Amino acid sequence: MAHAVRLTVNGTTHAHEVEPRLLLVHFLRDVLGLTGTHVGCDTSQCGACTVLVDGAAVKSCTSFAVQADGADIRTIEGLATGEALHPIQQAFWEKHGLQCGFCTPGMVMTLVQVLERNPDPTEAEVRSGIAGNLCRCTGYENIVEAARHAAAAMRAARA
Amino acid sequence: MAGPTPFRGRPLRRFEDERLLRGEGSFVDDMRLPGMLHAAVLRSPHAHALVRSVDASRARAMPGVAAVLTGEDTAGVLPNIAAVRREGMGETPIPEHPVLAHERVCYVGQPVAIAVAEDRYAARDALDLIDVDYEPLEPVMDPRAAARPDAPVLHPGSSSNVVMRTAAGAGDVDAAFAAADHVVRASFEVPRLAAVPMECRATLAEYDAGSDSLTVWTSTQVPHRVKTYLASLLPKAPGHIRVIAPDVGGGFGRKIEVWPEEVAVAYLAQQLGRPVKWAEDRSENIVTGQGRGYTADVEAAVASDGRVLGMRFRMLADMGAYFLTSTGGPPGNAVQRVAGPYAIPAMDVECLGVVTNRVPTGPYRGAGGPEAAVLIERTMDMIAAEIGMDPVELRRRNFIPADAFPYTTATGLTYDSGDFARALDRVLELAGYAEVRKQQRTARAGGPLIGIGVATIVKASGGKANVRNGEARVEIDAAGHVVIYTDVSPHGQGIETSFAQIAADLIGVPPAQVSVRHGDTDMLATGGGTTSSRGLAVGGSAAYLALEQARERLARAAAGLLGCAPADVSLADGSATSGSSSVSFGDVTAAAHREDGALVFSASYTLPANPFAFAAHAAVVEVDRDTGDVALVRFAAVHDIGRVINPMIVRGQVHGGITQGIGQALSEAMVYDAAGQPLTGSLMTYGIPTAQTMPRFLLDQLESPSPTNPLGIKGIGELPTVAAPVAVANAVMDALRGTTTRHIDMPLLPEKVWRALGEMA
Repeated sequence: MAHAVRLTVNGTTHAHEVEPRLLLVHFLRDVLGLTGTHVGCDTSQCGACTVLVDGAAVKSCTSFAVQADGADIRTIEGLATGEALHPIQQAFWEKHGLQCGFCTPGMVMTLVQVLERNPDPTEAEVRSGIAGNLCRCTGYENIVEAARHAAAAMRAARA
Repeated sequence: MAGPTPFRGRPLRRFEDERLLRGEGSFVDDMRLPGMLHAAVLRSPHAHALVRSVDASRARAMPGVAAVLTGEDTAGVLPNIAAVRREGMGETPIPEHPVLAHERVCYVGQPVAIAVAEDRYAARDALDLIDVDYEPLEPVMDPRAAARPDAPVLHPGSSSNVVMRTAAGAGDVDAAFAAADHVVRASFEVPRLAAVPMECRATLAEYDAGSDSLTVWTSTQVPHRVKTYLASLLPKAPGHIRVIAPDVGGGFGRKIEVWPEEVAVAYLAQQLGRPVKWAEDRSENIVTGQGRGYTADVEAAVASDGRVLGMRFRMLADMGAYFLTSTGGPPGNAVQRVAGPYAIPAMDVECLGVVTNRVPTGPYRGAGGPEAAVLIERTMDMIAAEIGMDPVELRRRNFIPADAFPYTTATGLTYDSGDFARALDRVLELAGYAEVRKQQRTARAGGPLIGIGVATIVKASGGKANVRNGEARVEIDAAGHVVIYTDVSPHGQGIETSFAQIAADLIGVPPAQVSVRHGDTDMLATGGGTTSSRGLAVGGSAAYLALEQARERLARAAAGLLGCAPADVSLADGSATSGSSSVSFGDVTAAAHREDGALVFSASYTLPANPFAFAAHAAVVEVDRDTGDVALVRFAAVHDIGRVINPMIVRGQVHGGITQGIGQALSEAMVYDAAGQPLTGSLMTYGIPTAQTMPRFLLDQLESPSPTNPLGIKGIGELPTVAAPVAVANAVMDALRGTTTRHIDMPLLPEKVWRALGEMA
């Protein structure tokens, strides 16, 4: 039985009929074609599927599309402003925070929330903030560097 | 006059990154073709069972299901995946992996049937409607028991579970033991590990009947190998097969394979005339993508001054139930690499490959190296403890001296260059070795137990002789855009950037004007992909040779424009210069184009011998007396990897490699119960490192350029993963030196450590 959902993704409103069991991540990827959000596990450990649902970082493989009915969703595709990358994306580039790039969208979206809640995190706070996002390439050190670099840039931009 | 600053050695930001950061990467599961169907795989829930019947009629009748393929359909149609025959396999029949199981299943996770439907949910639903009648059999799980002559034999018609023997050695080992002042013996287990690339396996195949061509996008490290196998395995070989590795989300060795699912998906696309996509989930990935799995008995004959006179290694490798294409590789590496960085005159090393009811193993980052390092480097620490010598001093006394290169070990490896003692000194400095030793002496009673451990290891790059060849082609257009086609198939290594840096130094093109194209069998006739730390040493060298031809041609064109001899032209930083006159790179390429019509330079390169990189790692740990929990307080590492093209990328490889090694040391292992059920089959139970448990790394590097290749390169990809696990293990055992426990096998989980703490001497 199909359910009607209406939600906003990166500023555009979409209305679709979906199966109640359709995962939010598959709605984003298969229905809307927004494939920047990845699936890296089936037990909510890896965080590759992280998106912002009404501003909160959510693992979209662990929620249904119908649960997001009416929500305002932001994915990795909606983070940059045209040519200009978001400061977190920019910092990942500068600090070599990615290798294969598969975990990167989820990692970046989680950090959007981490830095929003704590604009000047310590290294330990960053590490704790991304403990639910797994990366198998980088050993995390450059991701932590990137996060703190981005935090500084974002603080400077606000000052 | 100083020349222009080379691009080699600069931490250039990667050209790969922007699209990945914007979510615009193209991984296989991101792709969608018109009319595309989705596949899901039904896997064996038993480690060993007869398949009495498979009834797929209900699944086939389900709306939205296009096809269900079972072992009955493929028996006699799709041949088994032929194992690559290697030294030591002898005449023993090697059990080959069927694409789909027929009549018998031999491991949990073995593909039994594959359903294809209009969407991924329907394909998964269809699996629930396939009725399989199994008759469970006793599984063969313990490699030591399976190797005994009287053990029940896993494969009917086979005389033994030992299907492979590989050995290395030289010197008079018996004489060494007769002359020894000390004999140190130890037994080890190196568990199976799951590679866990963040992107699981995925394959998309499309067959075009009109042109009789098959295109396969697959998450692989070896597109050419997949193409070769598909050509021989598909019953009606398409006229043209093209295999493309698009963005690949990590591999770590377990995408150096031709998987049954890849064959089945290609076959289905051809049969159905519609594109078919399969993307596995993480649980499938963990139960199928494994490496390592060794047990070993080691004996060392040692003189009273610490010199190791001779060693014996008796190893068993758990190959799993069948051999896939890369299964036989790592044991052959391991038997040679146990020599480590030491001048041990007599060695006798044997590894038997044993079949068990588990998924086939294959290379996982290090591929024989980390397992060998555990054996030799733990034994070195046990020797040190036995004779009462500092483990660092013991290593120094046994190192191959810096003036002894090239040096051939008793296991038959010829090391090209290095300065092991210098790297070790530097890592001790970084780790604060002397201070930690002092701290240990003055530690307060009841506080955490402090331990420091080192590991010193050597790692070949480029692979065995038959895979050390690579291809490249360079094309330059009139406007000066350079395209490098390479057979290297990266998945995070950043070669789009490092190859551009090589090009910039050789022909003066601005790096941003270079496109590096890879991972497509239509680009080059042959290719080794990305394996064995070969990317720069083999692929980079092939590109270098093609670029040298380009430089020669461009220097000639520039000489014409500048009115000088080609030898007087300097190509650098976007221009060609002779004395005080210069022209732009674009002017030069335009002139050459006018003369030649096209600028295409092809090269193939064979690495004549392996470069050997060296690593010295030191770990400092604190062990909680009450819980057995191990905290890594410091991790220092020094790598000698020859010339460095992009130091930022090298550091990234080092960080990731160490982290995987720490995972092996502290938390990772594939655990099976006696019935052959994996108990660590998801990321809930298989513990890869998180950001919270990793320390910051203290790093340095040395550059002993390799004489084996034009760039002086030694590979970095696997090196850190070889050294890190045993450095951590040595540190933990150092912290436990007051107990009666001499050794704990990895992973050093709190429970194991806590039990050892209960045995305080």
